[in-house]
Amino acid sequence: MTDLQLQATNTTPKVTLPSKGGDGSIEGNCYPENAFAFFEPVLSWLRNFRKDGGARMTISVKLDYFNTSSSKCLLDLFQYLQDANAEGAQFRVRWLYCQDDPDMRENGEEFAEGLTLPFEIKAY
Amino acid sequence: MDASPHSLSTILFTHDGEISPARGEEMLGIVQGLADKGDIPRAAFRVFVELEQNIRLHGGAKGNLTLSRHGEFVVVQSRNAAPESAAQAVLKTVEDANHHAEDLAAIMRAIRARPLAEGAQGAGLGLYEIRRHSCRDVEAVMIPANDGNSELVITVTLKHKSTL
Repeated sequence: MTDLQLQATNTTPKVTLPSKGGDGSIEGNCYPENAFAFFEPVLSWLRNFRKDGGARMTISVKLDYFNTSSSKCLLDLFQYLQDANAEGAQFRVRWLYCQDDPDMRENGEEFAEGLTLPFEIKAY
Repeated sequence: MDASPHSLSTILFTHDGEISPARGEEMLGIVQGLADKGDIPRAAFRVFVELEQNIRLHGGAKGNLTLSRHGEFVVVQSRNAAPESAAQAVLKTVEDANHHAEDLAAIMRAIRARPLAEGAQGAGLGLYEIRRHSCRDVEAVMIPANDGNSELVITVTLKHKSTL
């Protein structure tokens, strides 16, 4: 399979997920009107990654803004990664927030609270 | 909110009319620029996004959005036509969010964890998110019209970051 490369737009983030595993990223703005349509290909790629035997990836999430629809999709994504880890995968998330943005730090903490997925929260 | 005549009031952005996808993106870009420069708190942009998308998805993609500064406060207001039943539902959710202002994180966590209803266009979180960022109760008013629709007005007040 090929890497997943989605270019950033005004309302959607740049997404880079390597087919060989390792370090992936989701960064930029994330407030599409239809967040579900945006995230479905990302989840679909991850399912194929798993089917192909892929097992290790650290995904850095560095968002400037995200809407509430995206927050639901992000939670679904993290839940998928957590479920995959229960089957032997080694996914990790690194949540990066601007140190001037306490809301974004809080968002990361709220995601982490409900998850057993390794979830690092780091300021930049 | 200090509404005395001595407080400085400035309209930072306003739109009235159709909101096409392109116009919606343009508006969000303008308001994000204000937040990036520090002219408004980031939270005001977050509120603006939710209100704009409410109008685009549920308000016939036509309405009024205004962002203004009143002394130490920033106010984001939306106005759009809505069927009376939909407007009533919004009022009910706003009332719920205001009533549970201390527990919004937990409420939103529970909503976020639920599977989506068939055909849902949003996650059902926007009005709660708006209340989280507001420094006082969100105001929602329904003004009945003659054609079975209502005008729905939502007003959100935030503290400007310089006062935080």
